[in-house]
Amino acid sequence: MNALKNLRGMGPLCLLLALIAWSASAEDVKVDVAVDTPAVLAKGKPVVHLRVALTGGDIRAGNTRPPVNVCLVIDKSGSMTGAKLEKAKMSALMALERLSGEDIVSVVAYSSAVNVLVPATRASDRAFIVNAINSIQPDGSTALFAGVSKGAEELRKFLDKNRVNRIVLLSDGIANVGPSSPGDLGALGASLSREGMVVTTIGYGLDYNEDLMVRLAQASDGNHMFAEGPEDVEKAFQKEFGDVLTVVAQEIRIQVNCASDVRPVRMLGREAEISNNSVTANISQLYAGQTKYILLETELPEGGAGGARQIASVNISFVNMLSHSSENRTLLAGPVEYVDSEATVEARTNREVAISVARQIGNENTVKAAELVDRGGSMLGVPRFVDNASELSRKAAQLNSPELAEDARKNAAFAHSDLDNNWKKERKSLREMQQSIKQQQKQ
Amino acid sequence: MKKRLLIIYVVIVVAPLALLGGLGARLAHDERAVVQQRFQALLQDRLRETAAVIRQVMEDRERAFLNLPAFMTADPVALDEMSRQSPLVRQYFRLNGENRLAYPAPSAPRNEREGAFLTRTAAIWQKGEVPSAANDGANAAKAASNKSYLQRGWHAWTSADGLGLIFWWRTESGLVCGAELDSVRLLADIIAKLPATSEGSSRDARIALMSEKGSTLYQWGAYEPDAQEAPQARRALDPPLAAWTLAYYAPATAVVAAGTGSMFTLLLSLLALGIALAALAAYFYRENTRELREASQRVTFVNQVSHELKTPLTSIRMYAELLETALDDCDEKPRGYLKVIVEESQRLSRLIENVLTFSRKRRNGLKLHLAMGRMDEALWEIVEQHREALSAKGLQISFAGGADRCVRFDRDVIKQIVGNLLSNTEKYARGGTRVDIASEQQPGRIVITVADDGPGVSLRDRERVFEPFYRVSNALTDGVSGAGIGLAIARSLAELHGGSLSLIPSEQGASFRLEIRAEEGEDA
Repeated sequence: MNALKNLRGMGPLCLLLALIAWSASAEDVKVDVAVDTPAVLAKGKPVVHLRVALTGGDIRAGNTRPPVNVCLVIDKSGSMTGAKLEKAKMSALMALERLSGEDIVSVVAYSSAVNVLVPATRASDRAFIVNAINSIQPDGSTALFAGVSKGAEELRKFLDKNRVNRIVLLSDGIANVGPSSPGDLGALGASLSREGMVVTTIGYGLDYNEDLMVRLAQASDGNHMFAEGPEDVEKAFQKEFGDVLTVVAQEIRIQVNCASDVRPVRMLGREAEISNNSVTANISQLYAGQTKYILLETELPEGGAGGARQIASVNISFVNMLSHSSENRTLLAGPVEYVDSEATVEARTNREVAISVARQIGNENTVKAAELVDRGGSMLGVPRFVDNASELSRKAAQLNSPELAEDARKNAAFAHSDLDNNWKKERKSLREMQQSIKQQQKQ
Repeated sequence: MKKRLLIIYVVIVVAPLALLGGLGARLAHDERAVVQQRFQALLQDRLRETAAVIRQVMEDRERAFLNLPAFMTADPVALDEMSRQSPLVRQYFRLNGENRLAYPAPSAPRNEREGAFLTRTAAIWQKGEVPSAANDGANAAKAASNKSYLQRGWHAWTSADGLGLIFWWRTESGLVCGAELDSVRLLADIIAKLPATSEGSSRDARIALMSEKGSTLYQWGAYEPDAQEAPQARRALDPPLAAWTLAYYAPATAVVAAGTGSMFTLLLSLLALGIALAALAAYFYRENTRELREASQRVTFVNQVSHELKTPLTSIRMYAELLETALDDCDEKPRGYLKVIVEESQRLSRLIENVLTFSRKRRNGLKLHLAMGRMDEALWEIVEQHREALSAKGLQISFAGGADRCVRFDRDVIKQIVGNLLSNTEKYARGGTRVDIASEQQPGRIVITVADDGPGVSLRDRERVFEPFYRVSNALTDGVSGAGIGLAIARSLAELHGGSLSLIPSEQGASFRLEIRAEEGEDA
């Protein structure tokens, strides 16, 4: 890995190795490494975005899906009283119906204190689980941190690389017992993620702290969903369990080792750690038929026209949940060629990667627009939404991308909605959208 | 009389009850204090158990660190990778031979995480707080003698971000390695090991783990304390988590309930005792009143008999005296017989008079019949009446009269008092030779003294001779008949007459002093 300086010479060999590894499980996980501009101007230091994308293959007949180890952490604080809690209970039960005897279920309910209603047990023990969930009665405040901590302890009992280990947190209020800052919950999520757990958060109603819920989900690369009413909560649970039951790979770790003269600038969207020239990023889980990617912005050295070069080697390791084996692949990013003409640069642009880049940058702008609304209301935020919308639609036209057009439409919609009066709700759907784009949630 | 008895019995029942009640209440109060103390001790025990669970989490962490095999490596890449992957640790570090930070390199952090670590812990490296023991000169000797002391340690600090924790240990190479713990994750793990709250949890307790700022980190137990409620007990966690405390909440009634059990038993036993005492008192009261009833029946009987006796006796006396005058010139012998009859019947009527007076007195039926007269005249009569009987016992009676003015007094009462005194002398002054009676007129009163030169009354019996039915027991009195009520009646009568009767000290014999109220007035 430290032989990056000689990368050019070793290129073909690495490629060969990668191809051998790739073909072994071609059906399960497809890995693609590409740059947005394989041709760059031989002028100044060109910026190139490197995309590493993984696509989950469909679960084929004869291939059993990986067993699930799931913990439902349910808010039973006083504000859940009534139809809200009843619908949540029903939705959770309906979702659990989809599990089978191989799966492990635990249920934790929390208010001021935490109640482990169902300690980790087989999903086939249905009567017990149904009774426990039906027995939930609302009262007290919101010890969200403790609920997740206890949920994690239940998952830990059957924590296994070959299981889908997931906490599904449902909350409708502001955490007010125990640590309750987005930072603390983010740190908890990150720690659990390193253990192999993923936390999905479902924000219920209009009174939860979306920053906290998003940070918690994001830290472990989990889903975040905004369920405004009781109907939405059923959808959220179904979507979540749809994801949980189609995991094809997990604990995906991507390490990009840039060539010594290539500077990794930043990761778009995802969290990553950059140490010198090496960049590490994690993707928790990959679902069947879904593409997840990382986007690294790099700065290339100046070069003369006509020269071509590899810019990085990419190492990807993950657990293949269908074959129950750890896999490791190494691919090269590039080659990138220095050219003279801007037209050539545009002509050779990788459309798919460029769309990803545009989406993530558009998303960053949406985040900034939201921050401006937080600070100064629609006066400050709306111009940013408008700018972002026009930039996104420009890109959409340029790249012929319906996704970007949709993003542009949403930004425009935010700009035209009554942000000052509906910000509480709009902010939640905005944060849901941001998180969805950031983590490339399945739509 | 009955009323007084009733009061006495009530006192007998109530006084011990009140005393026992008072004592019991005090005892109960003390016991409540003891129970409360025990309750406190119990709570402290529970908190100690909880603290032990948390200590166990910390010790598990320590053991995991000490068992890290790869930590010997000095390779920053490997250490960086370890830090990245560990769910429990924010950042590993190494010190060099001079106990200065070697990894992460203070001047050149490899990434944001290392940079943030250096910022967070800058003060620690500046002050040389880790490794704590090795840098402390005072502890060096102690450290040398106690190897494990030097081998590892915790360092805790609090900042705006909350609790910071470093565990450091010395590897076999002698260099210090360490880890900054992820305190959020540590809390999550502590919460995972602490009890949860189930529907069946007891409703009378709530234990809370409190942060250094006093906010609740985690709590369990179904009891919901008020926002302002103070905990029943508190306990700080063991270092390095000493900034965190455990608080035990319980309803105030739980403490009281622990103490009321004994109060209840006490009241019950007091009640039982009260019933027993009341029953006993009722029994004695009944017994006593029956005795009293019987006694008064006896007194009534004696009274009636005495009345019955009085009439024939008066006749006997009258006819004996008539006979005496009629036999004036007759033989000496029958006169002598008659004299005995007269004297004995006089004695008998005095006795009956005494018995009747006594029973009247018991019924509060004594009344004075005051009339004008001269005291000396009355005294003379008595002296004359007793002269014969006394001289038969060898006693010479002399009377020195000094009260011949006309006063209001009850002649019969005076005669009964002095008569009793004289018959007393007659009975008990054997061996004496004289009886001196003297009267003295004072303004509004008359003092009469009756003195003999017999054996007298011992100092011990000086007052008791006036008690009814009391008889001084010695060789002299043995064989002497009498009811023992004479002096008692004499004193009661003297008091009835507005005066007193007492034994006054004298050189020899007994000397009684009678003082009565006697208003002077016109001769009738």
